[in-house]
Amino acid sequence: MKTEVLIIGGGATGTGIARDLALRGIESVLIEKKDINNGASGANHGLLHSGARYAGKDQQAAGECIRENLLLKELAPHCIENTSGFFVSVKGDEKKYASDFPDICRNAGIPVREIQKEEAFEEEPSLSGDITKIFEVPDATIDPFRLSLDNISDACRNGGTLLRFTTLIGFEKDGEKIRAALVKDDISGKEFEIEARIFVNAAGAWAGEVAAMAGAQIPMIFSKGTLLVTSSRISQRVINRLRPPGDSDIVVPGGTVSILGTTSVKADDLSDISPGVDEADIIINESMKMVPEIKGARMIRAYSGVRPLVYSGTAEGRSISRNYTLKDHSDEGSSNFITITGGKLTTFRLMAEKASDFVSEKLGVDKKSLTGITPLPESRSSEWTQPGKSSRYLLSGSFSGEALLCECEMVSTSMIDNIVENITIEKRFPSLKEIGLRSRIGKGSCQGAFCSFRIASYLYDKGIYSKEQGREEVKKFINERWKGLRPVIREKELVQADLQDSFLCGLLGLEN
Amino acid sequence: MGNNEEKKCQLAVIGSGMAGVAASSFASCRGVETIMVGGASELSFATGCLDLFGASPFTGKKDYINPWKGIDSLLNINSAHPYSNLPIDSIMSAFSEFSGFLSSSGLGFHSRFNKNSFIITPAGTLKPTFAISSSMAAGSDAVTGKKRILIAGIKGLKGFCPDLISSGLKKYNIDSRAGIIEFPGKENHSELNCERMAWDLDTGNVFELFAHSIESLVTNEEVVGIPAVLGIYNSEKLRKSLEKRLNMPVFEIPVFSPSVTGLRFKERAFEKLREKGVSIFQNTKIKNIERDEDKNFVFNIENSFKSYKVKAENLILASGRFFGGGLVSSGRKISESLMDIDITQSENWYEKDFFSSHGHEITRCGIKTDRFFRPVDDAGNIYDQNLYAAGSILANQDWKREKSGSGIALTSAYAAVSALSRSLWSSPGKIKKEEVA
Repeated sequence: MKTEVLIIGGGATGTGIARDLALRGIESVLIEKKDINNGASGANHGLLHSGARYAGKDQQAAGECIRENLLLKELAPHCIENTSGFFVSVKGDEKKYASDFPDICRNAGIPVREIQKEEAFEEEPSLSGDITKIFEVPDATIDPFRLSLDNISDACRNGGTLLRFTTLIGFEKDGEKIRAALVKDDISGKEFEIEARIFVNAAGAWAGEVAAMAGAQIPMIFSKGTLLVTSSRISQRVINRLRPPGDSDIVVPGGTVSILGTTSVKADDLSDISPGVDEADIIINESMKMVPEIKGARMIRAYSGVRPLVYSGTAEGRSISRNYTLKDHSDEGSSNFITITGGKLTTFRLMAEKASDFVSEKLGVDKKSLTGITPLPESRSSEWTQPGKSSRYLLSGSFSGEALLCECEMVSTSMIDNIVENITIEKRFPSLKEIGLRSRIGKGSCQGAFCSFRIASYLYDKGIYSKEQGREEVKKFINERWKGLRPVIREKELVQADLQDSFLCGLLGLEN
Repeated sequence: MGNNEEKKCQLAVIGSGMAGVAASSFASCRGVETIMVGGASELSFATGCLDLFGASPFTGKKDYINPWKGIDSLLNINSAHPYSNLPIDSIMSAFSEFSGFLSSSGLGFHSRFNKNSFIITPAGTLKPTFAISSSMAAGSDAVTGKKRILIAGIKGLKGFCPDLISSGLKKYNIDSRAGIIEFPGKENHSELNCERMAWDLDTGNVFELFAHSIESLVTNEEVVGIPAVLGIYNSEKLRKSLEKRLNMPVFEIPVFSPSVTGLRFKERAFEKLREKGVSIFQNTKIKNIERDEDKNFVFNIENSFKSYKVKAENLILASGRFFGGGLVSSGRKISESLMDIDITQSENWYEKDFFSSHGHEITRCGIKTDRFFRPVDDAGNIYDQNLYAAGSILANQDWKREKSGSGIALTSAYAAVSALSRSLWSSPGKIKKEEVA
C-alpha cells in the first residue's frame, strides 16, 4: 500500500488531520489499532470549553479554546449542544479566585457575565443553596463520537482511507527517512507495508510508544481521569466549580444524562485503565457540594481515560501543561516524521490544522487549511449515537411495527440493520461493541443485560453471527460495560446488577 | 384508603416468589392459617423447573449429574450453606411434597432420584435442574439420548434464535437443526410477545395453523423444541396434541422477560394456594413490621379496595434479594429492608470479571440463621422464636452459580414451616384445624 501521508491514531486529532489533509487535496491513510476514539477522545466529559477553566493559568490556551469554541458552534452545530456554562463558588472556596475571575476571562477574550443567585436558581434549580458567586460563560457540550466519525467520513469522501483494527508493528527506515510502516490487520492477521512520504504520530497516550519505534523520544506522563454518568440529566448547563482546576469540579450534561468528574491519578500501565470504586466515592462527595442531588442520583456507569501529557520538567498531574505538543523528529534521524499529542478535545481542529500545515510544508504543497471555514457534513454512520435520537425517530412515524431490540433506548431491528450494514461495508465484523459505539444499546437502565442477548440472537437470524460468536459477543459486551458499572454500584444499581447476574448467569448459565 | 380491617393469622409469608409460594403451600397443608404478601413476583422470570444443585462456585465444577454428590462436596467446603441445616432425606421430602402440591395444581414434573435433568436455554446452554417441568422433559431426554432435534423458532420473536441454540448444542455433540415458522395471525400483534401468543394458543383457533407450520419444518428429526408459548392454562393438552400431530416428543425452551413458563407456574400455584385457604395479597408494598404486646407481627397492607392491619403469630421472610427488595443498600452498607435484621457484609462486592465462575462475594451476603432458619444477629442470638427466613435472602449461598435457587427456597421454607407448625401445635390451648391433605 502506498500513500502521501500515513496518520497513526484514530482519535479526535488523527481524524481531524485526515479531514484537514483531504480538504487540501492531500491523500492520506489513517491507521487505528482499535476503533475510532478508543483512547482519551472517547473517554472525556464531552465538554466544549469556553476556555474559562484555563484562563487563570494559561491565557494562550484559554484564547485558543474560545476561538475554537465559537468556530465549532458555527461549523459543526449537529455535534454540539449550546448549553452555556456556570462557574459557581461554594462557601469556603477561595474568594480572590472568584473576584479576579471576570477580568481574567475578558483578557482572554471570553465573554463572562455575573448572575444573581435568584436568577441562577431559576435557571438551574438543582444548584446548592451554599453557592456564593455565579458567572456565566459560553461553555457547551460536544459529542466526541459524532465529531470523529463525521471527520473521518468526510475525509474518506474526499480521498482519505481509514484502516481500523490495524496495529503499527514498526517502521522501515531508509537513511534519514522512514520509508514505510509495517502494520498488521488484527482481523485477518495479515501483515503488510504502507509506504508514505510523511508519517504523522497522532497516537495520543501511545505517542511515546509509536515515537520509540522510529528511534525518537516523546516523554509521556499518563494521568488517568475517571468520570461518572448519572441516569438522568441533572442540569441544563455545564456547571464548573469556581476555583483553580481540581478533582471532581465539573458537571456536564450529555443528552439525557449528566457526566461528573474528573479525578487525576498517575497511571503507569496503559493496558489496564479502569475506574476504581474509591474514585467514584471522591467524585460523588465533591460534586454534590455544587449540586446536592448528586448524592442520591442513580449512577449508570463510570469510565476512565488517560490524558496524554508530555513531560517537560518537574511538574506533575494537573500542573503539567494541557497544551498540545507538535514535534518534528528530523533531529532524531527521521526527517519525514512528526508527532502531535496532548491538547484538548476543544482545540482538536486547531491541532489538526497546525499538524497539517507542517505536513504541507514538508511536502511542498502550498494549500491552506479549509476546516476553519468549511462546515462539517453530518454522516450516516454516527446517526444513532445521539441520545434520544432513537425515540424521536420512532415517534416521527418512520417506524412500522418492527421489533424493539433495546427497549430502554428504543433501538429497533431496522436501526441495527442500518448500523450493521455500515460496519460490514468497511469489511469489519459487527461486534456488539462496535454496534454499541454507533447506537444507544447498553446505555439505558438495563445496561445491556437484555438487549445484548436479543441483538446477538437477531444477528444469528440474519446469518451474521454463527457458532460461538453470539455467546462470546454478549460476554465481551457485558464485561466491557461492567468495567464502568462496577465502581458505581450502590443502592439502585445493585438491583440492576442483581437482575443481570440472575438472568445471564443464573438462568442462561453464561458464566465461565 | 378506608377501614383498617384487622386480619389475624398464624403465619404471614412475606414474599411471593419461589420461597414464599413453597412456604405457603407447606403451611396450608399443615393447617396453618396463612397470609402471603408479595410485590411483583420474581416468578415472572422463572423456568418453571425446580433446581437443586448443579455447579460449585468454589471448585468451578459445572453441570453435576448427581446433585447429591455435588451438595456433599459443597458442604465440605462451605459448611454454613443453607443446605447444611437439614439432612438429605428432609431435602428429598421437601421436593416430593412441593412437587406433589404443584402436580395437584396441574403442573407436572419429571425427576429421577439421583440425577439432574437439563433445560435447554435460549442461549444454547444446558442448565442442570432436578425436577424438570414436563413441558421441557423431552428436551432433557433428547440431550442425554443424543437424539436429532429440530429447534423451531418464531419469526420476529425477540430473544429466541434457533441458530444460536443449535450452535450451542453442537458444543455438547448434540445434532440439531434450526427452522423458523410464522406465528399464525401475527399481523394482529403489534409486536410478538410470548404471553400474547400463549393466550392465542390457549383460546383461539390458531393452534391448527401453528401445528401445521411446525409439521412442515420437520425432516428426519426425532424431537421438536419450540419456544415456551404453548398456552398458560391448557399447556399440557396443547403439547400432547402437538406431539400426536407430529408423532414425536415436543419440548419447550423458556423465553425470558417475562416468561410464559414462570407465568404458568405462578397462575397455577396461586390458584391452588387460594383453594387451600391462603390469603394472597399481590403487588403490595410493606413499609415496616412491628411487634405488639402479644408478640404478634403487625403490619399494614393495602389493595385497591381496602387496607388491612395484619396480625400474625409467625412470620417467614421470603422477600428475596436486591431485585426482590428484601435487601437494600445505603451507600456501601447492605441491610434487610423490613426489620433491620443483621446482614453479613463483604468488602469486595463484585469481581472484575462479571462472568467469574466463582461468583461475586455480595451474592453470599444475607441473613444468617439457626438450623430452623430463624434469623440470628451478628452475636449469634435469634431475634425471635417465631421469626423465620427462607429463600435467596439467606447468607452463604450463591443460587445463581450453584443452580440451587428453588432448592434453597423450598428446603428452607420446608424446615421453617416444619419448625413453626411443631411449635404451633405443641403450644397449650392451640387446636389444630382439620388438616387438608
